[in-house]
Formats: sequence, structure tokens, C-alpha cells
Amino acid sequence: MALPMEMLMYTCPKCKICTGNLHPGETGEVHKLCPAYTRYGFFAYSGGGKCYLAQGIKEGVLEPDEELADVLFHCTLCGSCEEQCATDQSPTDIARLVRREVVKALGGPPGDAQTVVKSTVNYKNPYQQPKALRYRWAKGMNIKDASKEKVETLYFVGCTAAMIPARTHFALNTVKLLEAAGEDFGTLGSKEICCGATTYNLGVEDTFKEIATENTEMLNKLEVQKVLTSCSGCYSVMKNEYPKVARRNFEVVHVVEYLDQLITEGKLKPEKKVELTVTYHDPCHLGRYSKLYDAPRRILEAIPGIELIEMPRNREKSWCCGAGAGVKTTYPDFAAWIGEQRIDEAKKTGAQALVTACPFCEGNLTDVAQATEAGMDVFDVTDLLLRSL
Amino acid sequence: MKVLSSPVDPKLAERASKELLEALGEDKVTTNKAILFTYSGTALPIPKTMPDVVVRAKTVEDVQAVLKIADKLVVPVMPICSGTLEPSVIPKAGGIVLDLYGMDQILEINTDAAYAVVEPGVSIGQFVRAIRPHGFRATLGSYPPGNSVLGNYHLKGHGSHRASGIDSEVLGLEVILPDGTIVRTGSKAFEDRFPGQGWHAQWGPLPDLRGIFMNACGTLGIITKMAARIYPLNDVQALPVMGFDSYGDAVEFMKIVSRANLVEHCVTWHWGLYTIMNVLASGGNMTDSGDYLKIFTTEPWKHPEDRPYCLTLNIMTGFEEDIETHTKLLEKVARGLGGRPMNEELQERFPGTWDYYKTHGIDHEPCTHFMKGFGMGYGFMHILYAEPKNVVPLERFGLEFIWNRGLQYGTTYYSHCLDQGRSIFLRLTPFVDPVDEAEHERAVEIYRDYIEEGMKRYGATTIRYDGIHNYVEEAGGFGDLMKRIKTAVDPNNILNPGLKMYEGGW
Repeated sequence: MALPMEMLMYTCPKCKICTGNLHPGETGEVHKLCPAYTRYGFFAYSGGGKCYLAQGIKEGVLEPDEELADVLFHCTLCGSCEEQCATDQSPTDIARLVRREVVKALGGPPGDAQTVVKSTVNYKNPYQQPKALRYRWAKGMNIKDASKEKVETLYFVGCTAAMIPARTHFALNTVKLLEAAGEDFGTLGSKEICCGATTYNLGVEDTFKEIATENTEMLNKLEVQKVLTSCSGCYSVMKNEYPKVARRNFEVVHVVEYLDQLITEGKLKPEKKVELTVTYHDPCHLGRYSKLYDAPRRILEAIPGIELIEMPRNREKSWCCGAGAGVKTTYPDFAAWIGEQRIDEAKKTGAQALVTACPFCEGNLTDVAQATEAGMDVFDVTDLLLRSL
Repeated sequence: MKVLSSPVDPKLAERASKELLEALGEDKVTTNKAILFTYSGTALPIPKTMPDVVVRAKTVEDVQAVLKIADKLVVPVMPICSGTLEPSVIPKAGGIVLDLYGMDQILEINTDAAYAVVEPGVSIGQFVRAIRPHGFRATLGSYPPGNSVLGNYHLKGHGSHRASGIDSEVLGLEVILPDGTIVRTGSKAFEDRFPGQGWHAQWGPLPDLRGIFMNACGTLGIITKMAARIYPLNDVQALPVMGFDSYGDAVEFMKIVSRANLVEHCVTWHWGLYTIMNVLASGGNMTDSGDYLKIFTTEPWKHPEDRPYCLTLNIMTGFEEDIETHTKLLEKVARGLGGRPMNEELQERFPGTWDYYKTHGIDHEPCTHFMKGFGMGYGFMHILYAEPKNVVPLERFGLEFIWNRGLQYGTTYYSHCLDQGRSIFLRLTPFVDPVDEAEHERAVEIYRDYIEEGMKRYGATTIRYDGIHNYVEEAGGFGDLMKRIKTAVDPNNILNPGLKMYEGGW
């Protein structure tokens, strides 16, 4: 039986386990895992602090105002607090609940995140890009249009991989890899719309529900068996949240899961050497939210020449990239700070490159690596897999 | 949930905030109301109070700066670290909350003299993990690994070496007084004159001032460093568990084995507590457990026939031969008192409880097993300690007293042997619904009456200041001296005045 959320809000003992890996039986260094608490240091920024903010709102002691919003939205909802919490609290869910209250009271999330929401409503993507440009990345490619012909697997490209030029390699690589494996797949082309992950995390509940319903109904109608995503945000929200809004008749699969399976089945054979020492960054929505840790690592290990070195904070205890839940848009300096910590950690492993499996993570980590002249390349798993074929 | 406003004059609070901001910068000082609220209280069922400003100190100089401003303006300062649910961390006087959790360095691990020096923000999990590679372990209480070592060690009634006669883990303290003076206690008092002096001795040639800062909950100074005893991980760690059908037998057992130096520590768990722990630590939910329901439906002084009334855990560490012999002796003493060894049965029938005991008493790790229970009701701490002959009737009295006053949830306890059984600690724990305000009020009333009755009838005393009782007034000449010390050290009464330790409580 899950404990009622209300009770959880009131029983946080302020032990601060939510901020670091302190569980019994662990060895080695104690790591700081909560970006907001590590950066700002006041209890309110921690997972436990979010429970107290929820109490304050519920009791009418705190107004869901801009001051509270500033604390609350300085959080990437990375889920590390939830992973660590020993009282089985759900600080991340509680934070989302409070975000919804703030959004209702203020008419939207703080700062530039409002633009993201408006763009998602008006253009069906968070980047204020015209809908028609969604399929620009596939120019000259001959990909099945899943809205016109039936396919078993639908590749849901996602707004970032489709519309941000520096991230379109996710989509291009995926298509090339699926074609190399002889898979039957298609895309929705310019008919694809945002998955709604950003609105979900920003607490814009109604908009998220509309998007989730629209997407689920559309994909159900196409009778696809699998929906494949590049973005860990799309993956997590479609896999974990859509079923709470509408009945979903398709399986949601992340590209790395799919490619891992293709390698296992022998449909993809990474044979060319890629001489590179890499470390892997677990995207929060792929890892903590969806428990998908092994598939990307197996792919990297299958590529000849790749040496994988783990960062101290990995898997369940991974440090966030800094981009999520509206932070990159609303508080870019904070996003950059979080990313910088990660790049530093990656560099300390001695790896030549940092590899991840999410265009959003790659975006922030690349921006930081370039801005700080870190000398660290950032890749998607598909970049390296493609090189090895 | 009651949340009171700060009683500090808003203009004064504003001036203090401004000066603090100027001195320390906005990275360390905030008046954001949302942030302030998260420092207004704890999960304890005690009304919250809003502070006016929160400062997170990173250095001793930061602490000095805060105290100097507060003392000049006469604004209350309440220090806080992490994880303590003591009443002392509710800023009832408003003013400044001084968050010390950012001071999180382990400054020294001295394996030669077996102590380590920590700042207030060092957590017990961090501490245990840092000293383990050196072959050492720390004394542990029943608190989770995120809790501050200093915040908990400086309170009395704590630790897993108490039966052996070590009554405190604190060798020495560094304390900042309201005027910024730095005080170091014990052998470290001579730091300025003889910088090489370590923290190895609790005493110097002068009176032991360490004691006045212990249990003072920040009312006499802000503790910025603590030298804590650490203990070697010997060849063997062992935890023989004995079952008894009466608390009196368990107390007698604890007395005998601690006085014979067979154990480092022994603690007795009431059947209700080891039953709850089994459900929690096995990953179950209490509401789904028939065992859990027994706690509501069985008078706590009667135990279900299928399990002993209480278990006594014996924490032992040493050479293999020693442990083997001592374990046999423990079993012999237990049998002589009608008890029996329980390890095998415990592991089979109560695996969750055993896992907790093992983690705490053999692995020497701070535990999280009990924390799931927090969602189902909060453990309120009815702590008294008394001489062995008195603690036995006190136990029965306490269980009946609380049960008959009709709290919604069950009551259970654990009991420690202190200082080779000279004194026995008894913590009754009725669970209180975390969102039922009327129940909170009743729980506080029952607590207050129980403590008073326990002191009056059984010569018991309590172990920490609770904010409710007027202990200073009741302590005669001792209380009078404490008042004089307080006045001399903190003439403007800026240090945690909301606790009203010297004025008769809330």
C-alpha cells in the first residue's frame, strides 16, 4: 500500500539522506547527488525541503508565489532525492504537485519557462519552431510515413532531435542504424507533436494531459506495436505517465534498448574499431525514472576499441546533466553549473569522451564542455555505434 | 499545523538581515519566506515558528560574524545541523537560524589516539565511511546516516558503548561564544599557546567545561568542532541476542553482563518494537501486517505467546577467543534468569529485525530500516532513566499510563544499560499520527504527565531538555548556577532563547 501523499509531506525527518548516497552498506566516498541543494545549500532546495514547501502550501502558510517558485523551479527533478529517500517519500512527485499549485496561482511557470509552454501549445514543440520544420532533418531520406502506411515500429523522433540542428544527428544515426539492421519502421514526419514532457515537469497539468491524450490516441490509431524514442524525456513520460492519462496500446522503447536487442540478435554487428576511452552519463529519465542502466553500457562494450570507465556517480547515483524540468530555459547559469560538475567528473576519469543517450543531456553537456574549453567530446551512443559498423 | 510568526520586531529583523547580507552575501543569507518556512520546525508534533532570516555558515569566521551581529542587535540565533528531531531546533524566538550543515569537513582522523575531529555538518554516514578504511568504527544511535554526528553526539543518552561505562563520545569541543570568543575544551584548551596539543584528553588541569556545552542545545555557544571517540574494528564483531519473558529479567541480565565487562553495550527491545521493525525492515507495510495490528490490539505489557516479551541485544567486539567465551557466559547468565539465546529463531522468524540488528551491531552501520515507519506515525520520545530497581516498575507504569490514556496508535519501547547498569534508560515510544492535530496535543499532554509522574514516583530523570518542563527551576542550586553561567556567557540571551531552557520552558 502506498502511503498517502499528504502523510508523506508531514513526516520528512530532515535526515538529508535525499542529498547524498548515505545508505548503510555503501563504501567509498560520500557523493553529493542533489544539484539544487549542493549549489544553494538551504534545506528548501533538497528533496526533504520540497516536502516542507508542500506542507506550507497545504496549510496556507506559504503562498504559491514567485518567491516560492524561485526555490521550487531551481530543481531539475532529477529524481536522486526519491532514489535515496529512506522513508519511502516521493519528493519528486511532491515537487511536481507543488509546481502545479504554483502554475495555477501564477498562470504559468516562472521566467522563460512560460515561453516554452506557450510554444508547446502553439507550435507543438518547446522551441518556437514552425511545425513545418519538424521534418527538415530527414530531407533527402526515404523514410516510411507511418501516418500513411502501416509499420510495426514508429520512430518518435522528439522535438530536440528533430528541430535543434546540433542534435539532429540523434535522428539521422537512428534511422541509419535501423536501416542497417533491416528494420521495418516509419516516422510521423511533420505530423509528430511534442511528447509533453516539459509541460509535465513544469507542472502545466492540463496542457500535458491534452498532449498525452492526443499522442496516445493518434499512436493507438496507427496500430504500431512499438514506439521508439531517442529522448529519455519522451521515453519516460510516454512509458510512465501516458498510461495514467489514457489507455496505451503500444510499447514504448528507447533507442538504446532497441539497438542493444539488434546487436544481441546479430542484426547489427559492430566490427570496426573505435579507439576511444569513454565514460557514460546516465540520463535521469532513462536511469532513475525508467531503470534502464545496462543497455547503453552493453552497446558501448560491444563496440571494438571502446574502453568504458565509470564516473564515481553512476547509475542510480548519477549526477544530473542540468538541463531538465525547465532549468536550462529558466535558470541557464544553474544548468551550466550542474553540467560543469559533470564534465569535471568525466574528465577526472581520464576518459576522452563523455557518452550519453539523450539529446537534451548531450545538449547541455556539450554547451558546457565548449564554453569551459574542457577538451571533452560529448557523444550519443548512436554516434559511436554507427562508426563501428 | 500551527505555524507561529516570528516574535522579533520586524524592523529589527530587517536590520539584522541587512547587516548579515552585507557581511556574508546573498549566497549565505536569505529571507525568502519559502526557505524560512522549511526551517520553522520539524516533523515533531510541536507548533512551528517562522524565523526571520536563515544563514548557512561555511566557516568559523562566518559563525563569529553572525554572532557578533546578533549580539549587537540582540536578535535570537538558533543553530541547526541535520536530522535531529529535538525541540531545540524549532526557532520559537524567531530571529536567525544558523544552518551549519555546510560545515561538513572531517578535519582529522587520529588512529593513534583513536579520535576524529568533525565539523557540525559531517553526517554519521560520512563519518563511518571515512573512518572504516582506517580500521575504525563509530558509536551509533538509532538515527539515520544523514544525521549530523555533532548534533547527535553532543546530546546525552546516545551511543552504543554506554553499557561499558563510556558515557559520552565527545572528547572535546570548539565553541564560539556570542562575542566571537573561541573556546576549546580539554587538552585542546591550550591550542593558542601550544599549537601542537591534540584533542586526546577530555580533561585538562582546569574544570571540565565540555560538560556545560553538552545538552545545552546551542544556548551557551555554537559548537563548530567536535573531537569524537572512535573504536577499532576488532577481529570479531558479534551480537548474541537473548530473549526474556519479563523486563525485570532483562534489566538484571544487562546489569550482570555489563558489570562483568562481557559486552560493550546491551539494549533491550520490547516485543512491539522488534515486531514493528521486522515488518518495516522486511520491506512490508505496517498496515498490511497482522503482526502490526497486534500492537494496537494487545495491551503492551502482555506479549503474544509466540514470542519473548523482550529481546536483549549484546554488542560485542574483540578477539575470537574472547567473543566465544563471553558468548557462552552470556547464554549461561540468560538461562539462569529464565531467558534463552534467540539468534537462530530471530533470523528465521524475524529476518527484518535481525537485519537491522546486524547492520547496527555487527556491521556498525547507521541504519535506515526504521524510517519507513515514519509515514505511519511518528515516534514520540518519552525518555526517562532510573536506577535498576526503579526502572522495572516504571516500565509497567509507563506502558499502562500511556495505554490507558488512549492514544490512537500503539506504544512500545527500548531500554539501554548505562554505565554498567548504574542507570537504565527507558524510551517509551507511542506512535502519533503525523497529520492529526488533536492527537498531537494529547500526545504532548501525556508526555508531560508521564515525565512528571516518572520523576515523582520512581526517582527517574530525563535525559534531554524537552522545552516543556522547567528543569532549571526544579534543579535547585544546580539550576541557579546554570542561570548564572547563561547570564555570564550570553548576557543578551541571543543563543537559542526560544527554547526557554533557563526561563521555565514553553
